[in-house]
Amino acid sequence: MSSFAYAVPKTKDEALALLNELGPGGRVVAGCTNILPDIRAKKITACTLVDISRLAELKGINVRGEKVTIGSLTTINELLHSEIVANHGQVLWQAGQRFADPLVRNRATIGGNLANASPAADGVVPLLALDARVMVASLAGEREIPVDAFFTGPGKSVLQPNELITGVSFAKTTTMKSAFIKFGLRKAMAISLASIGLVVGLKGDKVDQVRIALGALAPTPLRARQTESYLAGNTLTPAVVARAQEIVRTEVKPISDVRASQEYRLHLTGVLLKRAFEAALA
Amino acid sequence: METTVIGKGLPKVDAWAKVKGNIVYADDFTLPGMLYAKVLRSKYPAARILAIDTSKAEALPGVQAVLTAKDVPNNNLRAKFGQSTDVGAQFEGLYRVLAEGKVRFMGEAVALVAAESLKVAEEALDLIEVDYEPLPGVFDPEEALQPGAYPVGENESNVVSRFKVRKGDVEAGFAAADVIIENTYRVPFVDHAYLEPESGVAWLDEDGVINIRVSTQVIEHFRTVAEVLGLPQNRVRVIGTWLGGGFGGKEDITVESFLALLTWKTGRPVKLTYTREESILAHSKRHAYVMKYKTGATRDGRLVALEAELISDAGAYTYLTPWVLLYSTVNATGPYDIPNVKVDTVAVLTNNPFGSANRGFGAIQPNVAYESQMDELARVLGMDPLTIRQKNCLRQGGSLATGFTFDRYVAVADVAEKAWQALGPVQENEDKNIRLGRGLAVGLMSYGRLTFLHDSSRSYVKLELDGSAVIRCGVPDLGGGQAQSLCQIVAEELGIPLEKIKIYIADTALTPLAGTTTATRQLYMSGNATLKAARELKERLLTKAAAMLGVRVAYLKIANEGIESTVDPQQRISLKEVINACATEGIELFCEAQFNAPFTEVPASEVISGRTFADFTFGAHAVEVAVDVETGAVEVRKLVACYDVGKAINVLNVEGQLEGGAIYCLGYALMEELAVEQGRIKTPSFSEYLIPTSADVPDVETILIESGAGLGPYGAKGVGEPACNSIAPAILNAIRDAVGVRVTSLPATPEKIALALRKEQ
Repeated sequence: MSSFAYAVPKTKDEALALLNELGPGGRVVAGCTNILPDIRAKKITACTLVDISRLAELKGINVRGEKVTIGSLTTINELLHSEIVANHGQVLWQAGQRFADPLVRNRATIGGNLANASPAADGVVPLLALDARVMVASLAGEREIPVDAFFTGPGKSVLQPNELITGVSFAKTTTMKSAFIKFGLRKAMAISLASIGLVVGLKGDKVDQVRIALGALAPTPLRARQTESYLAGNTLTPAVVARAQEIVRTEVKPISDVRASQEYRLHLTGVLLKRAFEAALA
Repeated sequence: METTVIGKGLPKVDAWAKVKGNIVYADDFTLPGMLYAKVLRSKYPAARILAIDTSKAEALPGVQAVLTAKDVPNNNLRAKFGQSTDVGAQFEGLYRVLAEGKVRFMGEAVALVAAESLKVAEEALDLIEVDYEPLPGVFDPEEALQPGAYPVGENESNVVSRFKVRKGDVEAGFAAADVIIENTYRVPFVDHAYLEPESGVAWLDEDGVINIRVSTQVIEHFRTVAEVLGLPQNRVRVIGTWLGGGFGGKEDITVESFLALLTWKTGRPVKLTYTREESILAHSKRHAYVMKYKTGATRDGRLVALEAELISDAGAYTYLTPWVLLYSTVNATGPYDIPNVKVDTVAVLTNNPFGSANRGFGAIQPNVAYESQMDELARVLGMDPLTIRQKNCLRQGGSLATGFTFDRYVAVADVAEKAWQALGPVQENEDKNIRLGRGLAVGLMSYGRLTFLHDSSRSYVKLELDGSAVIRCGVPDLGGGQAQSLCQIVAEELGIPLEKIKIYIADTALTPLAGTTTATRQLYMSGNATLKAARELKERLLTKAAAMLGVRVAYLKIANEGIESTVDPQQRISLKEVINACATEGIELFCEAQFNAPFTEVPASEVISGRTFADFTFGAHAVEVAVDVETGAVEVRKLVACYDVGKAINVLNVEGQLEGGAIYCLGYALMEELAVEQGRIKTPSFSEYLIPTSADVPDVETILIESGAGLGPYGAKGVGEPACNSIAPAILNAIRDAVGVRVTSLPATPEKIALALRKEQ
């Protein structure tokens, strides 16, 4: 039987103290777009909901030098209306447009998308492509975790029950090219069958830097490191792209489920890789 | 005919209240002292219930009742589905209120709880102990037909019904054919996915009558509920609410018996509303079919033979399966004149979710098959899709393979041509990954119930002394404008503005019974009953006015709240004056009229012949799709629906039905599938069971033909269900046109198309 307590801390420190006290019996909530369906489905029962949605300290998008910082309570809709994100973290802005639907984008926060740890998270894949770092606080202090090291499995991350995600940061990608492509079974409110976030910098006609992030193709969102290292220094000829498609298919571990087969998801992986480069360099 | 209200696009009487959120839908209603009900559902698709222990649940504070099959006075009925006449065992089925003996499907209701709060009711469900012996079950309809198959019921055969159509000699027909196309088509179970899940509130009034205020398409279920409780029929009253969608899913009983039992047991008001997941688990589905089609034509494109074998997965209980199968049987050839026909259909029980009514009611499934076949024939013969259809389609005077002859206008050729031409010139495709394609499909579907059901409807119209009017008609309004059309008919006939007409609907105690809002029958049936009542009143008013004005009735017309001479408009008298004169003299200012559909006999054998329906509606869909050759994704870019609606009573409403119908089955074509594996639903919520969003559908262009050939008021035909016919095969045909892939199983997912394209490479 479900039974919940509800707390609304007024400051970050108050929230951290509460989380420390509650341990695994506390659950952080903000936009509630994941937690409410989970409560209804009885996947979550009997805990204290710690509502952080009034913590002004966790809001806002800032640039300092080469670094962009986004507060964890920033909604997807706010990302979409941010010139900073549009100019310096383009792949995140592109992904925001494909995120769920306008109603959910008004409520869902970037911190919540990380904490939920879905392998298909459309907010996380671009952060991975931005090589972002997750900023985490607890009573013991603050720490930063690379997004790439944040997830440990579907719904699982290194975040401890006494910890709170306060924001994410990444280096500007102003001069680089970006693309985000999501493939779902309808145009809105669809869980990705496969998604890709790409950030690429060219030197002449050669790939200088490249980061490829993939969603829904493994137990966690993942970087296609082998494909990246193959492409670095190469010119993007059709033959090189074809080879990259082969490599990327070996890096993913998609499942078969009611939405699609493993075979089809593997097929999509290659298609999305090619299209991401086409879109970024168009 | 000159009209003032009929044929106009007027806002619906219920529109403002809905937009403002003022409608009190079933779940919005509460009563003091009300209890909350929950249903315990089977965890297995096939099992024997060995024991049920409810003692712990009963002991939970706040629980007022826990009921199982043994507490139901009549737990097993021969269901008549709101029908008032006997039609024999072959068209009826078992209606079991709560599971007893064998559980037949996952989610079958096993026990009921009523408690002081929803929370306590939910907690009580967890305390009911059911001892199940899991059984193997059978989940494939073809397997369920085999001798020795697992029996879904106790011992009886799994076969629900079989029908045949026989015309000419198919062997000879195929021997004479130059081209033969053979394919097997599969269509899945699909959900109705209405906005409003099943819901109702019941209470016992001071006279001992059980009142049930419920979201239903069929208020006549009061009779079945009375039988379940062993009460006289006049002790159960059903009040139908405005529906948040029905689509056939609220044609069978949903929460009514549960509510009545709990209210009867506790004496308290009780509410029961299903969650979305429970709705998907518990209510009927569109039947899944396997359809083997063989179609033969001569070189010049003339159809010579059609052989079809249809297997319908009825799921765990009969419900409306025999009727749905009969629709499929009659519709199996499509609207084509074919000299040699052999159709064999069978419906079989399995331990899957049960099939029953869903918008289109058995006409939709064979339409997917026969229109795919026509498209393939056209391709092999090098003909365009319009020509092959025009060459073979039924026309006035033509007959279905059952022998039913159309003595009125048959619009197939017309709707096909108009829809196809409306696609306009082909535009250039600029995306290298996209191929464009176009598809056409036509269809027919009946409106009005099977004629052997001896259908009738009643409506009451009354004039008030101030010149306003009241309609009482037991029609449930699903959102399709059922109430609105009756108001427009009265407004037209009696010259009264719409805002002065008040309609009361859907109450078995207070409104004359109008029959079910199913089978696309309300405009036809209740429209005609209302028209009959209004014209009777009109006659009385005109007769009285003739005496008052000294003008013969033949030279009088009724308009703008008055009666005037058609020769000299100066000779005019207000309606109010005429009404008051009638009242003074004791002339009846009300009329209750009944309309009867054509009656036929119940089919005497499996071979179906002659008339089974009153009439049919003909329509066509033409679409343009963009198919992504790498991902297999399909986008419908253009969508045209053209229908002969006979006469549009309300143009906005008719267009709304055609748009909604097209989108309803656009989902059927491209994304909807209630995936079931070993009797377990793999798409239990709207996260997995996808229906189109507004971003997935194009604007629907609607073209109305008004032939006046319908049997409804002013020559109207029904369009509610026919509106969703033929869109699915039009999309499949367009995909075939775009990328050369013939998808033979719905839905046409990107995966099916992409993997088929890759195989071809």
